[in-house]
Amino acid sequence: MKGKRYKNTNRHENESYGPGEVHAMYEDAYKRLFFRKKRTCPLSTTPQEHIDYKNVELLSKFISERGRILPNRVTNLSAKNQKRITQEIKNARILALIPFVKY
Amino acid sequence: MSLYELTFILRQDIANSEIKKISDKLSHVIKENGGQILKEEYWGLRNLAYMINKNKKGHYVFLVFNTSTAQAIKELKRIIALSENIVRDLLIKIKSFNGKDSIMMQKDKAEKYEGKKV
Repeated sequence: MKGKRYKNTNRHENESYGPGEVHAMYEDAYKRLFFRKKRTCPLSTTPQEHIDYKNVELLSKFISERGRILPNRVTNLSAKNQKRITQEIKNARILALIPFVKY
Repeated sequence: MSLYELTFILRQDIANSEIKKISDKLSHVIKENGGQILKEEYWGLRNLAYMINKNKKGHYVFLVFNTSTAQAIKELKRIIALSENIVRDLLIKIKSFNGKDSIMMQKDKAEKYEGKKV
């Protein structure tokens, strides 16, 4: 019965579909295939003052094993928080709290 | 009035009395130029994430102050640049200060970080 899921059984075989109807069906199927729950920024509830170069424990969550800053798409941070985290990591690096590179 | 945070790292093989002397000297410069010290912290001898001038460890000193004169900042930067004991410094402007101890002074968190051995 594969592919028959969206077929209207009451409709005559030769009857054509309305404009955009097929597209909507495909889109619906596509959404089902790649359904993912929307994830929010992990720091949306943390107070802004905690995002600081002194808070090494927090910053270390957003760097890779090699010490690189992780991109937005991995960390899931909002654009605002990602910018702040990036800046604070750079400050922490200057003070040798976080390494530039780990070997 | 603008709020500033100054953190600087001193050479590892320095006497404890010398640390106090240097931080006093810097705070004196700020006060002389019409500033006010709001917080002074000593984070202790910490491991550096990478070597700075052949130092593997460093004494961290942290200052929060406010000043309305550019002269204070200019003089501070000049003295830091001339000092051979200060190997690294970070001077940034902050928007607000709540008067609490910084995260580094909260002992359990600091120890956790040391244990990680970055």
